[in-house]
Amino acid sequence: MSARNQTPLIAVLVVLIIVAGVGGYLAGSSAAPTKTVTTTVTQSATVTMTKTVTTTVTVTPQPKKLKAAWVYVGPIGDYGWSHAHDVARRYVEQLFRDWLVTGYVESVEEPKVYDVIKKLIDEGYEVIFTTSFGFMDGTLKAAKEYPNVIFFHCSGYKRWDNMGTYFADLYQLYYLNGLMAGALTKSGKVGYVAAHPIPEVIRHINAFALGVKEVNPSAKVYVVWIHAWYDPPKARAAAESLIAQGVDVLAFTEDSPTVVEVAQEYTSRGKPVYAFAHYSPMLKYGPDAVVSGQLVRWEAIYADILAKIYSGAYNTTNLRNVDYWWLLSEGAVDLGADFGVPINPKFIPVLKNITVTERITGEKMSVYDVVMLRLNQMKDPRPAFDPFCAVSEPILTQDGKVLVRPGQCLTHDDLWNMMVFVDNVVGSIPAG
Amino acid sequence: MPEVRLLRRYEVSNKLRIATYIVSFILGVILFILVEIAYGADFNDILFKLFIKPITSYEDLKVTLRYFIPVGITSLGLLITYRAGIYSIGAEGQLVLGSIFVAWVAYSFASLEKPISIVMALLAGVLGGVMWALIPGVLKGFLNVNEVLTTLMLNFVAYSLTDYLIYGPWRSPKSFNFPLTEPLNESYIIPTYMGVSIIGIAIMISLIVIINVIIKYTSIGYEIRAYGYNPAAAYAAGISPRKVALLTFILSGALAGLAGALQLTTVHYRLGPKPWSVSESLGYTSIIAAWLSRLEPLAILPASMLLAMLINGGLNIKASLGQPEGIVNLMNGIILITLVATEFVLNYRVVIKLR
Repeated sequence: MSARNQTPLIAVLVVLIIVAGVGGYLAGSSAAPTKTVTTTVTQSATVTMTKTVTTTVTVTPQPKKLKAAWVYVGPIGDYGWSHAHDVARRYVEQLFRDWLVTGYVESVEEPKVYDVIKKLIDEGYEVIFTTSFGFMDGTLKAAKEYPNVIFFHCSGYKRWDNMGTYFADLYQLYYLNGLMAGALTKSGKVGYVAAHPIPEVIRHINAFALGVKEVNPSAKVYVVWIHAWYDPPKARAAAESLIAQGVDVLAFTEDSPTVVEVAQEYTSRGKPVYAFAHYSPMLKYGPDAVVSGQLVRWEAIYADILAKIYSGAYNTTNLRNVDYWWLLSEGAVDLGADFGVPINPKFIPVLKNITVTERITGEKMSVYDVVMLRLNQMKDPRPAFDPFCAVSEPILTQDGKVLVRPGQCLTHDDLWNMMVFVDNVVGSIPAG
Repeated sequence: MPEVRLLRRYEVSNKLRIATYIVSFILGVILFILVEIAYGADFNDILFKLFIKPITSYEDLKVTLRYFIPVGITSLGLLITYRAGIYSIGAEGQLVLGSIFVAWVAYSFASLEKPISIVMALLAGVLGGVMWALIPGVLKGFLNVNEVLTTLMLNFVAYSLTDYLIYGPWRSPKSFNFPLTEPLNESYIIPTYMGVSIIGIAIMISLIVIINVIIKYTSIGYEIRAYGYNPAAAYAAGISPRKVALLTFILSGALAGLAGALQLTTVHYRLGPKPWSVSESLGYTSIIAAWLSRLEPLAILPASMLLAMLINGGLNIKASLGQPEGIVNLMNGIILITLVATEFVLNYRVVIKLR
């Protein structure tokens, strides 16, 4: 036994100490504890939301404080779904700072949601938002067990006396994106990188395809499934394979800016590929490639729900029929490559130069004007337009069946159950 | 300079072994507390939420036990293969297949009454696990294919199979086309008593006793151990590698499948919406539990209890203390690596001479 045998012992100790030190430092510096009110929020990604929080405890105490907790399926830094919910949580916490206390739990595996909810109730939370479809059963189980706590589940369909549901859907924006995609494609091939084959994603693909068809009847939408909500490598592979097939405009459902980055790479290499941002503002990831996109404002829904709970309009007995299905007209979603940038200024002249026939009035107008017309029609409190309403011609499915008859519209339940593609989509819906 | 010498230990008393684990565990906890202090948390709070609350608060204890049962049963099965020197990491897939088989029985024979339905369900789980384990077992036994690769890859095949079923033929018509199966019939749900699956705990403890006897006091156990120590010598002594491979895979698959059956019938009641939503990746957690037990069946109890506590404590850190996921990962990493790293002390005696 010689001196060289010291190495493992010392190495192990050194490694452990380094791991502990570095880990502590990183964890301490990267994420601020949620309970400290005086923390300055400095995430540059969310410009409109960030306000330096300098409030100390108000001198005149409110009679009642409300404690609300959010349960996320992903990390708050995913730059997609969970991130958007957390932006909204911080917004309402600031908005209702006199009476609202919030907390969150990130990266909760779906089967563990019931365990997590119980712990939150133990900590005194009275309102619990669960933000993944897979949280549905666990949330319902907890709602039945804790009748004095209010639950709101995002994207599900099961409700209870003390459990409501809510969703902000993007299909109108996908349709608007489709109008621009149809106008911009030169190859007549538009791509869609899709997450999971569930009605929500299929509805978005169809809305996008209907937009494409409206301005470019011969163009096709090519779909590639990646079977994941968050998988940058697969999203990249899918985007590249679509481009290799001749696609020159991309839309997607995936919780990262990967597809936008791919489009930007091709565009800066002199082979223009355009993309539409999904869920979060992604203009900065593709300043030359992002045309527009879909943005969500969960804070519209959260503010409404929390205000109604605080005022007593919602209580633990009357939520059985409370289902938010909020769209453009309620301000829960918005068109844009970034907040305040509905269309990337680089593409506005191009879109203004392309003239099409507006299909309802038959008027000749630029694509830009059509997009703005439709946007305003759908933003109206009583929307004058819906992509899933057939006007003079029926909306057909891939195999030529009539999906929507002229003069009719799909109902909320039709949209929720949608499992067929419209006729200008190329690709199939796997299994089922 | 003092001289440090390392001497190989050949025999380690149980006392030293246990003392080492306790000391290294405390060391790991201290290191994690340092991290928490650097993060700015109150360490009293951490210690309470991490180690006291999971076993003292009844609500928390229920959560701990719900992870304790599947981890215990699955790691017990893995222990058998590791005793034979066969490194299966396929418990996850076998667990998933167990749950698929239970679902199949429950949907096909929905009218069966308790207790036959429950017995059928558990047997189906065992059968599913065994069938999935036999694939690497046969490949290993007859063709000497590396089991690490086959078992790992079959886990993903099992996930895909679940995906196929929940997106395809078993998708519930009432689920608005979301990927979910129908919930099990009432007759296929194993009752709990005050929120604790007494049946699950009873099954786990009796299995630990049975496997302990098989490994230590039967000729089959002797063959498994002998093969694990030295395959060549065991072969020369007339022990069939084929028999050992098939037997250990069958046993571990049976236990993993049983754990899958219990997960479905006591906790989740349906497959979906993610392929791992029944297994909860506990098949992988069980690998750690098996090695922490030092492949000693009776030690599966404390090892899987520790891991169940860490899972629950991790949820407490996130939910009760509002800390991010990264802290939980750090905790698991630090505590488990410290436990494994101090193995060194059991293999070497450190002699320090001052000159």
